[in-house]
Amino acid sequence: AALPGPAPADWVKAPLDPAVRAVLVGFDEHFSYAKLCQALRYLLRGGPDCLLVGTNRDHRLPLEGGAGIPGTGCLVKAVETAAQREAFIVGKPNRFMFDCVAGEFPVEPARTVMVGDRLDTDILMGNACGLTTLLTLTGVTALDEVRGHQDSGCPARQDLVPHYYVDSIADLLPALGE
Amino acid sequence: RFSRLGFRGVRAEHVFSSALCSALFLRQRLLGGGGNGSGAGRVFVLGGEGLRGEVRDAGLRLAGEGEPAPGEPVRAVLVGYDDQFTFAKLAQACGYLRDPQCLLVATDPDPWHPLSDGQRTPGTGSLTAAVETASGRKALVVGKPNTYMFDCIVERFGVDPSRTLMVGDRLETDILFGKNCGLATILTLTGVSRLEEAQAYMASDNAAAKDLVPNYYVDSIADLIPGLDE
Repeated sequence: AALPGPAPADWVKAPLDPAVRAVLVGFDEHFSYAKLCQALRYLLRGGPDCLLVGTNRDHRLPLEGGAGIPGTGCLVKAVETAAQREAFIVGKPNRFMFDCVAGEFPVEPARTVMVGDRLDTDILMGNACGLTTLLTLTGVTALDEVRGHQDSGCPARQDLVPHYYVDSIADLLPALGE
Repeated sequence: RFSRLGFRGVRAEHVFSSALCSALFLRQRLLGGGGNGSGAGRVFVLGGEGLRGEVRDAGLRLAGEGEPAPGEPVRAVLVGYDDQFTFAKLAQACGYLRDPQCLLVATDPDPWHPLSDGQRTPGTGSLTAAVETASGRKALVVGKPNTYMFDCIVERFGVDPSRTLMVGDRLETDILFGKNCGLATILTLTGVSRLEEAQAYMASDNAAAKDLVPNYYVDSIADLIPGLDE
């Protein structure tokens, strides 16, 4: 909807939709202060009766050449900070996504491999769901990072260690063809 | 505005904002406290005309929105209250922050500000959180509770902390700032913080919580004015 004036003092006078019961934060390349303002209004109006949900906490979406663009996690943090409350994050490492898949398809954890390139999302979720986890090294994570977790004495960090790794997901394709 | 509220004799040079002090801070870091602007690099400001003006008045040049001119590196990203904040500006800031020499500075940590009708508007703190998350960097926050603003005041006016009273409405910034600077503190209840919050800090087992407990409180700053006239 169009903003009813140039400044926040005008925006907060616009009527709120009485049916709104959740604020959902996803990737939004059109994110703006005005939207942040509106999200805060719904969260304050609803209190605990208005859910605050985020799709994921990715900091950056990597582009070629080492550049990147801000991820959804930045926008989630902005809303969490303004509202002084924590969002419920649906995406990995939350097991909700696996439960969705397992609810629709006959997936057996003992016969399932989770392939991913991030330890704190992909691998952590896979391990938490009892899957076999496979790290690909073409993305965000370097092997040194894995060794760091493995060699630490900390039990929580062991959950970030994959069962296997490959340099590239392409290495798996011959085996999948059989 | 001060005279409307009953404070007489307040002049422009007596007013220190987080915007002014952020500009002074950047001037020190980028210009070394003196000299002209050449070679200092530019500042990318996320904020309104007031903040941009303070940075210019400090002798610094601003980066425009869009691509920087070649040969003039951006040496600092300054996050302030920006009601025109967008994803594009966030992405632009992150581009500059890939250079580890580029400073990340924020004017203040406030998560929100109260509006006159009881609603809230997001503060600099929420925008800074987005920039920090995207860049993987921690911002240097110039404003309260950092003592830098007090250093600015003392340098210009030679204030004696033992004879200075800090008045504020937010425990986590104003009162903690007063404590950090060795000032006596008064909380006014007309703004952000509730008396119950101060009492909760007082009752807390956490040693750091004691620093957020004011020495005194008043319902309104107006209660102090008769005392000031004497």
